[in-house]
Amino acid sequence: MAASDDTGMTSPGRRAFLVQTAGSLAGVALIPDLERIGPRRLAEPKTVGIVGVGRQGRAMIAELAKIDGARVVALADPEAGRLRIGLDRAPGAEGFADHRAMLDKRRDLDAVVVATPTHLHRLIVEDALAAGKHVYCEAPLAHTVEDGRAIATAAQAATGRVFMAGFLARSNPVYQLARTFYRTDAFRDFLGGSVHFHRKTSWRFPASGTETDATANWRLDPAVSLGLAGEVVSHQLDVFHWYRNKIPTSVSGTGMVAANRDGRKVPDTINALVRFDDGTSVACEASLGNSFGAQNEVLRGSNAAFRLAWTHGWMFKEVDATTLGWEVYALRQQFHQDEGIILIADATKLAAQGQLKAGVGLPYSPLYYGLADFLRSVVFPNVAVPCGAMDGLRSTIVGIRANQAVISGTTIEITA
Amino acid sequence: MTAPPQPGTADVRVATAAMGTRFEIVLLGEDPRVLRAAGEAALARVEEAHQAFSRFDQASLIAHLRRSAPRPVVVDRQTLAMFEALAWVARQSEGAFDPYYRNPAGPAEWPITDLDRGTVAFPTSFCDPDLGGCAKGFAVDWAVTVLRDAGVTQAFVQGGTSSMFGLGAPSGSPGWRVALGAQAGDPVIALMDQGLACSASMVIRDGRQSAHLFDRGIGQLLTSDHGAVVVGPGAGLADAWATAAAVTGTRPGQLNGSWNCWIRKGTHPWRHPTIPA
Repeated sequence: MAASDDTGMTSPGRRAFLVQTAGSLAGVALIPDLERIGPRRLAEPKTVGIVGVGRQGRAMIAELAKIDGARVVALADPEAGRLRIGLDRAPGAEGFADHRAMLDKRRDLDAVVVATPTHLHRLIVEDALAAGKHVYCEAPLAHTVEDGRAIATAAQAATGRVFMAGFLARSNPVYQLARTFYRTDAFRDFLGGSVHFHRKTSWRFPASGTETDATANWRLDPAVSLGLAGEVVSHQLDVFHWYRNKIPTSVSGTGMVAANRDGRKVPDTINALVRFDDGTSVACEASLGNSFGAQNEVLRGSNAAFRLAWTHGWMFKEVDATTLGWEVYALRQQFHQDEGIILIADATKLAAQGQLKAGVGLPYSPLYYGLADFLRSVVFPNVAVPCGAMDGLRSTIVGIRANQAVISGTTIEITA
Repeated sequence: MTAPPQPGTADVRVATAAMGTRFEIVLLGEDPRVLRAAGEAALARVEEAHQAFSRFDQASLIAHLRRSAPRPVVVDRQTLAMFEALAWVARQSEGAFDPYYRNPAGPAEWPITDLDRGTVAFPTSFCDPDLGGCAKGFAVDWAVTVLRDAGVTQAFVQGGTSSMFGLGAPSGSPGWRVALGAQAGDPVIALMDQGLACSASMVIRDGRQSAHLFDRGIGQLLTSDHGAVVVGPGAGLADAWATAAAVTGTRPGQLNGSWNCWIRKGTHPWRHPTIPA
């Protein structure tokens, strides 16, 4: 039986509990810890300012409103229309056209959340840290290695200030539970994996108010965009970095505009292969032309495979793997010829309450858990954030290199 | 010299699955790239509403409000306005529309809204609003707001073919034409900057007609076959009033001249009752 690991989670042998369901379910799911998945309350109230209130910034407003003790009191965005929409979502918040004006006037802010386009992160993070604020920065941290290193350097130099990079799998209770299995004989040796991101969308956004189309659609600007590889796949690859405690040594890739032939240069369909120093690799595919399969990561081990899909996770055991005590009770789900164990956090408590099925999936979004983890560290600075500056920088660099490989169609060495 | 593009020269159709049905937007304009971007942003707002108001998704705002009860939760202004509007229609319709109604013997489970603080509080964790009917209409309205903000002037938004809004009108047309049925003689309504919602007391499920609406007055599902269509400034309120009209089988007296209502009883043709004196 495994002991508690450094995430503070207890062993799957004691906590993870699998219950046979009646009816049509025939698979097994990974369900995380009640205390991990339940509502978060801050031990003391904290005030937050958000810089950038586009779609992601607005999602952050909604999630912060669900964290007891977190209060969004200021928003900054240079585009007046977007700021107005943001203020509609955050009653009582004060609006600013510029993050520096926000930092100057709202000295009462405890924390700043940076949700601007990737290439604008650096200046805002540096200013916020210099103003003595704790900072949560969306991931990837930057669009260049230089900016990424500058952000990490500023974060490390800001003694007493919390900095968190928004690679959210590390805060996700389903992924945390899967990682406890990953580190035991239940998974055993890592053989390889794959990353899938499929969504039918143009990835184009309407310009708001006085904003230009080019500003609104920075993701389609090759000069500043990290493309699908950097903006999306980097989050999924971070799962592998975190589980394996290492980053890849090289990446090769290809990309094309396959679905949205509207003059864009940034590929909407990509393939990439990242390789680790032990010879293993992860195949990545992402497309904006088809939504089948949505977003998930697959990790293959010699005893089991995981399929992780942000709010849900499954473990597929090999027939010859040792039977674990709790398996006979597991929730199972059938995927054609494969049967998966549903990953459920704190399954023991849920089962004791007869509510195991209620634990399938997460009661909050992955973003909620990320922001809650950040604010917990703001309240208790001795509690490390799940993704600090250096981890964030490493995954950012992988994303930057992966995008370069896709654009150039070559193999790029990765050194962090 | 090339002639400038004429309004309505491009049309784009986008769709998403949300709230147990299909939402669809048809956009007319000049640049298909801009139209598609606006349409996708509007659908993203619909998906946001789906995530917020689902009774079955434990990550929804509704689930969070239940878990937080009776503590107030800060919500966005549109959501706050929706809760206010629903309570208003429920009171005005004397309960013919009541998304909070469950058990005649049970306690009232109405949310408490605080406009100053921007909060909603559910009185208990058992508060279980059924927004299935009316949330579609509000989602349509919010999608229209996104389209307007994006500069779109001609679009048709519909959710589940029961909640819709015509933004502007196709060139040369008095509005977006919606037929209330497939029979000859069924009314055809032209929507221009108007929402429309329909509701029926009986629906066809698995090939059978089954009761769909609850009559608070008699404390049970309606057995009479009423249909109602309400047209007015917004699809969300139209949804709520259409439910009330389908329950009573009459035009709600509270609807003023900004609203239109059609009623169908059984197999009789649609009627268009005038505003009561």
